Amino acid sequence: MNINRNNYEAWLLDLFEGNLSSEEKAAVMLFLDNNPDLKEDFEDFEIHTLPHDDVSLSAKAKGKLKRPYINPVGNINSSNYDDFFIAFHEGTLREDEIEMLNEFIEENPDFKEEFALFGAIKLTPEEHIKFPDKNSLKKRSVIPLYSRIGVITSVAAASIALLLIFKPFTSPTVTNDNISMLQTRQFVLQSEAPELAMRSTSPTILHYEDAEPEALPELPGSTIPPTATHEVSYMSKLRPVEVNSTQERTLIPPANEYTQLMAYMKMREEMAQNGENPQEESSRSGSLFGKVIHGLSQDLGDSKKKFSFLNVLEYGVTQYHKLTNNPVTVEKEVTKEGKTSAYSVSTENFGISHRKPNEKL
Amino acid sequence: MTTLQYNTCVNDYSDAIFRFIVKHIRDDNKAQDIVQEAFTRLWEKVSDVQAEKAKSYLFTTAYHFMIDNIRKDKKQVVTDLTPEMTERAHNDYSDLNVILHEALLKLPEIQKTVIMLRDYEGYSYQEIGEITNLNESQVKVYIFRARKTLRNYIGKLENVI
Repeated sequence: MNINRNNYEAWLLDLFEGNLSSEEKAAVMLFLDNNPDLKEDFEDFEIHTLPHDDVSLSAKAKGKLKRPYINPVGNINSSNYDDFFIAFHEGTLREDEIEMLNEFIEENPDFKEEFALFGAIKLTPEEHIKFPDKNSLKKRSVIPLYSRIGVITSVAAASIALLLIFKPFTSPTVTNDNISMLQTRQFVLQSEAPELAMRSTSPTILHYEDAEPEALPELPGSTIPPTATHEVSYMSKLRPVEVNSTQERTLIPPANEYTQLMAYMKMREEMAQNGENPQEESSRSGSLFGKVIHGLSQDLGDSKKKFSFLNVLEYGVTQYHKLTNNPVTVEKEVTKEGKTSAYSVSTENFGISHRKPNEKL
Repeated sequence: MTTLQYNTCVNDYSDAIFRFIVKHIRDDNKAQDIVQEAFTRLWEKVSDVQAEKAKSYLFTTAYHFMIDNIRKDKKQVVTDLTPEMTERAHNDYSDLNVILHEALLKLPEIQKTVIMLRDYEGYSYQEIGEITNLNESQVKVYIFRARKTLRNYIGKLENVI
């Protein structure tokens, strides 16, 4: 028992609280006698206790602390009921689980509100938030440059091809007198047509007998010589199609949009007759058709070399087909003597035809 | 996909993607840049992407651009650590949707992503997984966690209009 000035307060507290034995009490009193300056503290010492307060939690607060008693149903219990609520609203519960959940809510009606609350937790887009500049994202709906050039070139090429053929026919006209029973061959470009080798300086020219006499009935006016041959470099890509020779067919009149091209070609002829170089003029003039024709001739081979009807037609027809996937029909009308009297090139979108004047069937 | 279909995608999805991004990064300019990048990427692949897959492609691309952006900034960390989120102080009654969007901003990024794709766009768990590179059960877990967090934030139903 060691009572000193450092711990005497603890001894005094125990003395007042009645925690000391008689021996200890005597020791404390002896210490106070020996230290009279502390005896004054002893005499003033008084136990103060805090008064009891009536402050208590409200029923509402207590209610918040309480946890509702949960009657478990099947696998649904206090630890996982909210998972089932979410899963129900997510639509991922099986039929038997939905039945179990309904039963759970019936058994625990206090959870109806909770169940409804989970159903309400679904975000809806804030429509007022919008991307500010949609137009900056958009792309112009145009044919890509290479295709556009290709379309122009191909259409031009088909037209040029005809013009080259028509060249000897000085005044193209189509009259009712010219419309007659035609013996025709159609060449339809097939989808599997391989691409032409561009810029080939020596395009392969095949000789193809374009008529298979046995496949065509011998009809009045049908005088295509069975041995007639034509230079058809696109032979491997063209399929002869038999047409009804007895059907009266009208050649397609020239489309208006090619009038300009024809005029251009006429101008070129005149220039050539006057000793001017139309090729140079084409590229120099910067006109659309000039550029097309200049580019076309370069694509087909040596720009100085005069391109033939067949390779121009091949180029034009193939390009057109490649870009549009539309079939191109080339028809030729022949006279009884086996001479070519008219040509027609047609697609779903346009058609060009030309008849040699005064050429009778 | 044609140019016309591409431009239709711009009309149909640019707002939704912008909304999706801006809710994450809360920066209009950066969100616009990300949308722009996503559409640029789509345009580059316009011949490869089928029109019906374009929306998913855009969301996936935008999401990954956004994650890259967040990582670069290092201002936010993409984790599933739920921040301190207690029931909001209900001083007055509030519209539920307002409270939900308030709560949405406090969700971890990944939870925010999956819940927005689910609720805004109606994507399936599998589709969300494809966009976010998560498996289906991970997506499910994140959605469940997000819903619980949102529910706790709302508090009592009577506190909302």
